[in-house]
Amino acid sequence: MTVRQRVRGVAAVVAMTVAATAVGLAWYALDHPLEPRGRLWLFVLAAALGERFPFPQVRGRDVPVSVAVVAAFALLGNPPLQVAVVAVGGWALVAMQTAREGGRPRWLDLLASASGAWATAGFAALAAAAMPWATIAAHGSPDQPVHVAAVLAVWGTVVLGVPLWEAVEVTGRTGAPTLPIHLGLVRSSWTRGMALASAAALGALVHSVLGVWTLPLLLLPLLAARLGLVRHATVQRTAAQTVRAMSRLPEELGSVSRGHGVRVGSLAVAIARELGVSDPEVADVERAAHLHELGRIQGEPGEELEDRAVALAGASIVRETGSLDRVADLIERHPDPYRVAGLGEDGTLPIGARIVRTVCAFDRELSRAHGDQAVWRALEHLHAGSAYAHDPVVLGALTRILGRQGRI
Amino acid sequence: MPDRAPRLFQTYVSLLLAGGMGALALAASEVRALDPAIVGGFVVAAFLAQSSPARPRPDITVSLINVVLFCALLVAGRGLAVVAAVAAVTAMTRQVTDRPGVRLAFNAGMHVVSTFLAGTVFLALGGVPGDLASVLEPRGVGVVLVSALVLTVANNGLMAVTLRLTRGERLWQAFLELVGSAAVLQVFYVGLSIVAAVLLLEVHAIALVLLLVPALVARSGLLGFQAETEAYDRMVRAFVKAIEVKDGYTRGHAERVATLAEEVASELGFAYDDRVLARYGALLHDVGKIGIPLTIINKRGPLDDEEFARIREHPETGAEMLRDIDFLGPAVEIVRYHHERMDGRGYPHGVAHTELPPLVRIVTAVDAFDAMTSTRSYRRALDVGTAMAELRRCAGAQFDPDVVDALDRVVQRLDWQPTIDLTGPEPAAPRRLTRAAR
Repeated sequence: MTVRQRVRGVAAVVAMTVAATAVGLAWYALDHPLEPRGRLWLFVLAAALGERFPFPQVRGRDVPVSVAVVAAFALLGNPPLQVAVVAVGGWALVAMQTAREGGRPRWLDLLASASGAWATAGFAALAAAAMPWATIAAHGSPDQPVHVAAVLAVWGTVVLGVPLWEAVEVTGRTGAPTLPIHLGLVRSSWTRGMALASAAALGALVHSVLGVWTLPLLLLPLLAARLGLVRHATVQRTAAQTVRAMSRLPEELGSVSRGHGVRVGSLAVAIARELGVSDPEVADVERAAHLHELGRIQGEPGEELEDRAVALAGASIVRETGSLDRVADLIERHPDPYRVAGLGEDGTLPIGARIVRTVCAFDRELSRAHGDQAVWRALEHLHAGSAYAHDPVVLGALTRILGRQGRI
Repeated sequence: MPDRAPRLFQTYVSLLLAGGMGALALAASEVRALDPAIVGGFVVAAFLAQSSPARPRPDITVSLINVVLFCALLVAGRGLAVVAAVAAVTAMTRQVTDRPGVRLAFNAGMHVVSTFLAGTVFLALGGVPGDLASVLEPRGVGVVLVSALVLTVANNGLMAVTLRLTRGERLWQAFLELVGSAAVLQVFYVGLSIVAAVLLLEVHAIALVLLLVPALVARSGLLGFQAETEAYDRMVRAFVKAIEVKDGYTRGHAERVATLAEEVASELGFAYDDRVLARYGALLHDVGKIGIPLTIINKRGPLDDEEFARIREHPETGAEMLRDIDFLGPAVEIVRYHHERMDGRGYPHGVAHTELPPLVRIVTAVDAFDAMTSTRSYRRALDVGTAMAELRRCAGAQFDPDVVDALDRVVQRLDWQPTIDLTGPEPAAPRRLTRAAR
């Protein structure tokens, strides 16, 4: 990552924050009465808890539970400055701890919860004014109705707003277009967003009845949901780590260089992302890259095997797992050329198989070549085969990524 | 459970069912005064909650049924809760396939009786259904917690009696295990019930949707966890099978060691997580052998120094390979130390019993047992009795005596048979036994 890209990323995030803050402040008058201090600190504490125990996500960032706490606080009609105090306070408590443990504070979480809360409050006020009939009021306090519109507003802002910052950050970092990234993130996190937003609306609804009990009772369903999500994420991560570990099996036999599977995996993922492959497919490409030599374990140590036989054997092992059929297809087809003389381009060859083929060849060439021109010479070899063996689109992406990594 | 339930158990179920009938009769009179819409709503909710359970572990079922029952208690009292419990039991008819008569009768009795008990305690302590202001006072909170406790204790107590009568498990131990796995969830259930009651009584029934969304997300997480855990298990087994397939002699070895190790861990009273680790450690204990030529592994004569050096490396190679799988953690120790001995004369590290974690000792003994009871290139399979006698002879020096005892009980209970692969190659003359567990 170059300095320029980093600056661009930071600038984009700062600009969006300033804009969101300005809009939130403008929408929301400053003449609200002040919240009693004690309750404010309770919310800060709850926000810290939510920040400390986020909803886990296997790919991408965790979704902070503090979003729900801060949004609920905003929905209760508290002034924007106090909303900011809750968001910053809760975040800072955890950030201090993170920094002390040597980790990096998660700025995006702060932006997500604060801006999400302001936007929620703003939208809720606007929508409530537009649809005065759609209200649900607690019997105890008919003067503080919660609008259905407010619930819709909090759903919208949390589901769409929380991933927005991450999308902007990725754009700043890589220069990739924001909208598709944002949509991808929304698709993978919307159920979590809905759960958080619903809890926020719930908190605002029951607050007049439950008083101080609101926060613990509001956090309960979220922590319950988290339990399931954490377990799910853990087993998904375990499966990915196991596949990665299995990439070392053929390397123990001596016919594949050490770390080949892991190196091919990380380059293949970068290329797949560069070529706009969708998230679940990127995961398949990574697994296929890790396991593309697996078939070698059916031979004896040092035995020379033909690539296609290795691919077929590996694919049949992977198919046995019952859950990795798409990965098996990629492994099976990865030795195939993208074009056949006289027949033209093979349209049935998946992009993942082309990527694995080219990256595998690149890594093999590289482990043979030495000196400071090694990467260039490896690329040269691949380009020489671009008529049939290696898809120029994949080669182009590989070259760009190597350039970005400063390796050429 | 045995095929025919013992008479004592049948009497127990009959009594429970009779108690349930009585409770239901009392409850029915209480419900008559209630709004039919509320009763109908709770009946439907209880039915749906019981129909959609998640099973994150084979021995734990999570559903929102207790939330519905407790919410019914807070909103309208004991009668409604009992009626909702009956509705939940009707949902079970589709879930119970194995001997449905007795099990449904038991479940009906258990749920109705324990709900009735919890409701009675709630009323006796001065809880007022429908009055949330009193519930939110410190005394009210105490009353709610005590009745939740009664519900848990009654449910699990009645279940533990069943386990005692049908499987002969110790009553107290069965009860503690049941409560231990459910205790954390109870706190969630009570909190959710209060929120649901507030929404119903003070806000609007439609607001319950807001509570349902996090619940559904939690359920999807648990279901995903369940599905992926099963997929993960299949995946690891497929990899292990692929590693073993080359060597006709060790085919199925890892699976058998995994089965036995899990059973022995259970016999020794290990918690669920440890049993799972024992299983995976056992499945993967020999992955490090992948780089050793078959000519060495299946050599019929004695190994020379260089060959033995290759063999000595395999525990460390395997452990190194699995190092980055966080979840395996302690199971990696199983792979690393599975050829160590209690007296410190094992390989490759030569560490003694003080450093050998319990799960390692389990796999060490089970690995040796399965090696002896299956045919290898250098000898035929021994029968179970001979193998156990050999393990006993080496207990203390090579194996943990407690593990050997537990393994003995397990192989007797499972009626374990030696693995004789009639299609496998003919073994050569027998060799020294101590190297059998190679």
